[in-house]
Amino acid sequence: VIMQPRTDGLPYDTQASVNPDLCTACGICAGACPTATPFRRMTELVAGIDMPELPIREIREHSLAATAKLSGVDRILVYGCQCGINLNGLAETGVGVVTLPCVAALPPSFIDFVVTRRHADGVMLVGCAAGDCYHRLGVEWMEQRLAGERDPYLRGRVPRERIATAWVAPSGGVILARELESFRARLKKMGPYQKGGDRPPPSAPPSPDQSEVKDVSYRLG
Amino acid sequence: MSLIAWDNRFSVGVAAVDHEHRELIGLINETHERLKRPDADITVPDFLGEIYTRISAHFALEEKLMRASRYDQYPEHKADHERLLDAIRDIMDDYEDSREFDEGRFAQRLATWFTGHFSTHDARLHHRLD
Repeated sequence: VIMQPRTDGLPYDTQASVNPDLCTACGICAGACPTATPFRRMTELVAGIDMPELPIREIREHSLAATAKLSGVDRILVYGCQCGINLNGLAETGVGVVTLPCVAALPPSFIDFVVTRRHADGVMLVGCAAGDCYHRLGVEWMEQRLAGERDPYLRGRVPRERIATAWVAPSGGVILARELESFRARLKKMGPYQKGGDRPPPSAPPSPDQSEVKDVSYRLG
Repeated sequence: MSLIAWDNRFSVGVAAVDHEHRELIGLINETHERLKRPDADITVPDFLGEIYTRISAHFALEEKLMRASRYDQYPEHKADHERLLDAIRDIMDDYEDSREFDEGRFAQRLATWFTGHFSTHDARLHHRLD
């Protein structure tokens, strides 16, 4: 992605331009875009930068389709990388699967969407073995987004105990199966997601002036 | 009558940021009016999702500028951004759970947050970027 002078007359210095000769279609750019969120909006669900082969609108559709088939209190949605371990047989184990060109093609807001909107009880990210990402930095950057070290951050309100990662080699089927069962057992123990009940303590206390938006009382309209 | 009126205090002196401040205020005012109508053509989830998405993008722009200029208050300013985004997500989920939403109260709270944020964090940023 190259930043070039603006062509649409808007008061921004530059605009993003993809060099097709260098692009590997990893989708990490779309995963990093702050407008790539799955939540409904007034305008069409299109990100500032999007993958023609797999736009975020389709990732949302695939996520909803995969989770619609799940049942129980240990429903898991796996977002997996197509460059690593073969995930074809995973759906038969009772998990939902969405495949991406790279695990970092997933905007973190999708994890928020799936867990806190209760489409699944947990999300597992499956990618290449650590240090061996097919697209070089995808695994590392996704981990940094989860840790709040690289934008876009996974929102602090998303309970981290409902997220698991498995960075495995293509031959790591046994490891993946073990991680999945372990995650499933933890989710069973936790029970369904409860807003507030699952919430980790805030890392930064709100300043008195800026907590006003959250303190909203509701009434029937 | 607009919920939030443009004030020059909302300007940070960077064309792109000021453009987005105007757009966000316009969005809040416009959707507040549309939601109030008995024949509203948008839904609350649409409105909240749009606000959330546009604010996320705006904060990303401001944070990019702050990092580029090595702004000394970047952690505090970004923390305020993160708190608002978490608060909006809370409200989005509260609506989905209860279907209760006072759009007037929410819009007023949002207006209060923005005017406060613009006149404190953003004003200081403007001063530093000059």
